[in-house]
Amino acid sequence: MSSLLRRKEVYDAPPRDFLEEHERIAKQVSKPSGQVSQPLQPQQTAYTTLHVQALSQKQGELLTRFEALLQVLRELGFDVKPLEVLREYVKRLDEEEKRLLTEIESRQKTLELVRRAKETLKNFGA
Amino acid sequence: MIVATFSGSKGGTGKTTLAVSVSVVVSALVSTLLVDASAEGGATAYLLGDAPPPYLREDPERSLRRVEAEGLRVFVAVNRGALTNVEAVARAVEGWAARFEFLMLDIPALTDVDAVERYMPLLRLADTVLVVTEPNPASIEASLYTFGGKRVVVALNSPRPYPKTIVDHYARVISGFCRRTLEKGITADYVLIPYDPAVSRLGPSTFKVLNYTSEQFDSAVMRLASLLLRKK
Repeated sequence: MSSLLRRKEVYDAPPRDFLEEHERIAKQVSKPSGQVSQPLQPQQTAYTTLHVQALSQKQGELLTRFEALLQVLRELGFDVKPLEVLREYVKRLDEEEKRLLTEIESRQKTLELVRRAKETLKNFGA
Repeated sequence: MIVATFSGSKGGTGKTTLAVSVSVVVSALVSTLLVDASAEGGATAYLLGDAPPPYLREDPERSLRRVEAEGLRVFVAVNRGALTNVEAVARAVEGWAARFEFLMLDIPALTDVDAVERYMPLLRLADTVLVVTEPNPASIEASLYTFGGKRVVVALNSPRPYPKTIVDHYARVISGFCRRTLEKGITADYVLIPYDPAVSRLGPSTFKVLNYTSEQFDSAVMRLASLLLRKK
């Protein structure tokens, strides 16, 4: 009912002029482009500082909530060990790192051999 | 006399259909040119089917074609593709206004700020704006405007069937708009265009199809044509 009444108000309003509205919008659009972008720099810095502050505050809140959740889960009898899970994850990442390093080394050796073969063939005049 | 169609940002309200129908009717009385300024080339397709170039967007003067059928003669500035040099088209329209007694500019829906900017020179040329709107809030909200001191003729069109109660409600809304516009000293009229299934069959045989439209539709288009032809 309220939306109907609101619509009625809109319909009873004086007619809008398309040309006037267009000119107003065109002025609004042209105004900012005429300004120099100098004041942007300090604004941006201020924004970044605020952003970092907000982010660290958010992270702090998240940690508090996480600890509260762990407490509740332990009270309920669940054997929750987040640190152990993270350590396991670090171990897996270490293994993956080692595997990739070995692969890179072996590929580098192959590349070296190919280059040497090319050099030898060049020396033979191929 | 230059008439421009307008539906604000709302497309599919029946601008092209009414522009073509009115142009055909008016061509029986005065020399008529329909300028197809839409990117889709709807008016061109309605009257000529597949018209070869040059189009309005590239060469306005050479885009003029004569369409003769059923004892009537309409000139069409054929088009396909968005207008890039609207100023050139506007200059051509100014020249045509001296050669034709009735010019109908079929302007597409102005869906964004760029489109408004692009078509504004054509809209400014018009003496009368034919606002084509549907009986629904989105269309009414997008299209009910005045245009400086230009005459406004609102066509409340039903390109699809709408319940009578809804049409009556929006007819009252438009009647109020016309009253308030008149209070500002601007002439404003409105016409109800009824739903007509035959109109959806408009195509290359438009002249023939217009023989099968209902009496109500025909008389509404006649009323619209007479309102548009009326001098201030």
